[in-house]
Amino acid sequence: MSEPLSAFFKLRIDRPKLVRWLDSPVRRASQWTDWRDIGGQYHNVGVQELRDFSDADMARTVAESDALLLRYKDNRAAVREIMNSAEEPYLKHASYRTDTQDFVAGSLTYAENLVDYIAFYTVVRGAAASFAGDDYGIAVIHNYQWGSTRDTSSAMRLGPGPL
Amino acid sequence: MSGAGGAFLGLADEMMAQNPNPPAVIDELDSLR
Repeated sequence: MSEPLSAFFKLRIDRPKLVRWLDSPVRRASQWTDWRDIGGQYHNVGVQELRDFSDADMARTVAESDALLLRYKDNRAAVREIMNSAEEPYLKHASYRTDTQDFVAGSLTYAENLVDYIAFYTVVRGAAASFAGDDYGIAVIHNYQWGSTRDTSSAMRLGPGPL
Repeated sequence: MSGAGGAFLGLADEMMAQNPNPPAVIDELDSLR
């Protein structure tokens, strides 16, 4: 990978819960142990399948994601930073539809490395603690911009409902 | 982690089409208080 991929997420959640989540502290990537499930190939020892990363390399990568996330005082700041990755203003997005209760946010030019991807998914999956009823979330890292193919690098679904 | 990959294609197409001057910027994050 040599170009930044897009990162977007959607949370179907009512506005008060969304605002509470935005103003809540960011989770840590090390809270989860399933990061190999993202799949794909990344620069490590050369280009390596994520499933083939050693435990030490995986731990180092997650620790780097944690260090990145520590820079944000809350999820709002983290989402802002995701949006700030946009190379042009119109390549970022954040909107809330009151009719569907969908919050969508992201950047078409987010990042090109695994540390950032894990940080992105950590931010989004932290929202699941706020879910109730039919609330749900989806997140995707996707190649919208570069080359002739539009490939989904990875995706995550949260919910429906509380954890 | 799987599935849901195509969920944002429509949104991305819409954003990529935003080339008229000035391009539309949709950023409601700070209004969500």
